[in-house]
Amino acid sequence: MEIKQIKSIIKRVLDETKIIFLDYVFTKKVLWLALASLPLSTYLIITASPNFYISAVVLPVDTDPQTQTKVESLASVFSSARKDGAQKNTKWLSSLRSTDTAMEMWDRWALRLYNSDPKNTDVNKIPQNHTFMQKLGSWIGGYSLPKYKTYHDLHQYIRTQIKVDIDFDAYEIRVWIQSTNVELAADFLNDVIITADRNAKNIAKERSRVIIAALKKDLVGVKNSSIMTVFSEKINNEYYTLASLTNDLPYYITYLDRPHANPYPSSPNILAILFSNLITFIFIGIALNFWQKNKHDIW
Amino acid sequence: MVNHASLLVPYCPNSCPDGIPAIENPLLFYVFELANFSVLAFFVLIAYRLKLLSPVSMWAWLLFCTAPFFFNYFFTAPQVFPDQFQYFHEVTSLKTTGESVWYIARTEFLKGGAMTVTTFAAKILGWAPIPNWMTVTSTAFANKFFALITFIWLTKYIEQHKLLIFFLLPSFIIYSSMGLRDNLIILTSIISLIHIANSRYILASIFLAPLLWLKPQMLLFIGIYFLGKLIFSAHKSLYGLSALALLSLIIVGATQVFLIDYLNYYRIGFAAENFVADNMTIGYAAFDRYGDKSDYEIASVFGLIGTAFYNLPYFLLMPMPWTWSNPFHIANFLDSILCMIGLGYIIIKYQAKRNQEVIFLILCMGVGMLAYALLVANVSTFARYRFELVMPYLVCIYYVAKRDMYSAKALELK
Repeated sequence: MEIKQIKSIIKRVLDETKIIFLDYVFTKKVLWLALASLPLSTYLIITASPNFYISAVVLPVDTDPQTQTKVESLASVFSSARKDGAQKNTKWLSSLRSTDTAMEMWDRWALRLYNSDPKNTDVNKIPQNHTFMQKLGSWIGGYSLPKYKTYHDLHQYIRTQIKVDIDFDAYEIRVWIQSTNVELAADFLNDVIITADRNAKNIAKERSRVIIAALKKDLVGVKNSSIMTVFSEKINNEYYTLASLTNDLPYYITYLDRPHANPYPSSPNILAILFSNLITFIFIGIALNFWQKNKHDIW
Repeated sequence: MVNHASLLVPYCPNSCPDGIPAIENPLLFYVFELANFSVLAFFVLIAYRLKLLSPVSMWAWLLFCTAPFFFNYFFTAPQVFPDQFQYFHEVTSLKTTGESVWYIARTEFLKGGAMTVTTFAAKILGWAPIPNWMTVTSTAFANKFFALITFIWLTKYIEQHKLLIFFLLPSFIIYSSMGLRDNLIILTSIISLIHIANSRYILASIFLAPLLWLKPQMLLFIGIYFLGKLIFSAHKSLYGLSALALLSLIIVGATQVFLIDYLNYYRIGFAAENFVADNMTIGYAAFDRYGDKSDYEIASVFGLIGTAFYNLPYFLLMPMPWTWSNPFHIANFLDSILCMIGLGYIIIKYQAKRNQEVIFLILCMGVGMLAYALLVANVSTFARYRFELVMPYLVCIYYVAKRDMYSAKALELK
């Protein structure tokens, strides 16, 4: 392609672009439509509820009580240190997503989260709403729908609303939620974190108690002294675990940042709404101009 | 405008991925995406005004540009193609912070700092002059933009109404209406092939380079055509074609130990990805416990070739109607049939059965198909791979067959 050709192509494109802009873009119609986008944008911004990002950062500190002093057990601690680092959040995370946590929180949160009737004070009498299709399906299928909300709804809410991001080295865990009600969400997030920890602790305590009971029962019949020593050591370990767990402090996690909200909402994005509507309305104007000027040629 | 908190605030018209409910005003999804559509539609109108598009093409493209509204969140949940979220998160992260999103940064770190395919594709998608990057549908609009540009470029070589037929293939409409990288692979492959067909090797190399990240195997399959034409003149000389075939056999023979290991590795990998154990556990973890690698290992080159030919008919026709489990399977099956009919039509209509360049192109495509047929496991994945291979080759075969027929006729007239 020669320079002359390129020049002529560029000139043609520039001329055409100028015509397009003069004929289609810089017109009164487009200007009016651009202005008309403002009321719609304003309406959207006013009616959109601001969504806030509420987050907390916790540090997993799951270190099982160590009472063994043998060289091999120390060696195993060192050799599996990296593995433990990656796994130490598992118990707390599983607990966070468990039904037990939702069940424990149900009495405290059901009314605050779901109750729309101020007269109702019974957590087991919060009406469950169903969509038209669900009602139709139940009517056709001949099955009944649950009348009231249960802790399963809270369980589902926790699983879907509360998000957990684990950092690169699995040292810090960011727990977050989005909500229009900052105070409620921060309280809820705090309670979920603490309750999940408490539940994980309860499971560990229960496990220790069961092991102690079983070992004590078996110890009665044991006559071999070395087995007795091992059993005793195990029972001591479990008692130590129980002692470590029987307090109100968080056990599997500790707070680095308590739940707090970002001061600025993450949605709606006011500039984006204004800008998007402006573009769409300008395009409508251009399309109308285009149609008027080309309606006989475009078929 | 970029969704600064794309990992936090999903703008979805009805339901968002991972069970996150939509933000309170789902209308915002349409506000943002209509602006993207408007910009694309404006480009279409300008292209028509500049006489780059015919009236039919203009209407067709205006319709195509609406397609992203109908796939994600409408015909199907975006989770059906979960990769879309990776590209979207990466584009928004790169645009807002200049750095990769945390989970891709982690992958990059584990790979020793090498750029991931997601980052590369996201960087290309980010070039599209789309005003809003708010949802996965925004990346779909970016794909549409690149498809439009490629269409306009291709009109220099292929008549618009014929080209529209290729762009109307169901799978192409689907992939160019989603936020995936498949569209980029198809477009760069088409552009590279057309440049090679026109013996513009430097330009072809420029467009082949992205395939090194986007789809390395496509680079290999197109590379055969590139080197065969450039070095061996296999497109016009039977000796050249024979020499290329001989050299390929020697290379295969010399590297057979590596080749067998390499292909077995991928055969087992794809099989493991698609593995379903008796207890209904799935994937790599299930394969690790219940799978048997020896079921998928092939010990010789002849075994590899035999298996590839044995699997080829299934690979060409899958997904079979009795295995259809979603509407995309119907589109994949239809595409396969349409492409085969199209290939036959081109060969007959443009008298290409003795055209050596067309034969060479079909052979290159055949090598790709055999390679995929050898590895075939997950139907959806390999239906995608097949389409990415077949559509660019089909466009190029059409172009070459028609060009050569007319040039032969012109010679006869002289």
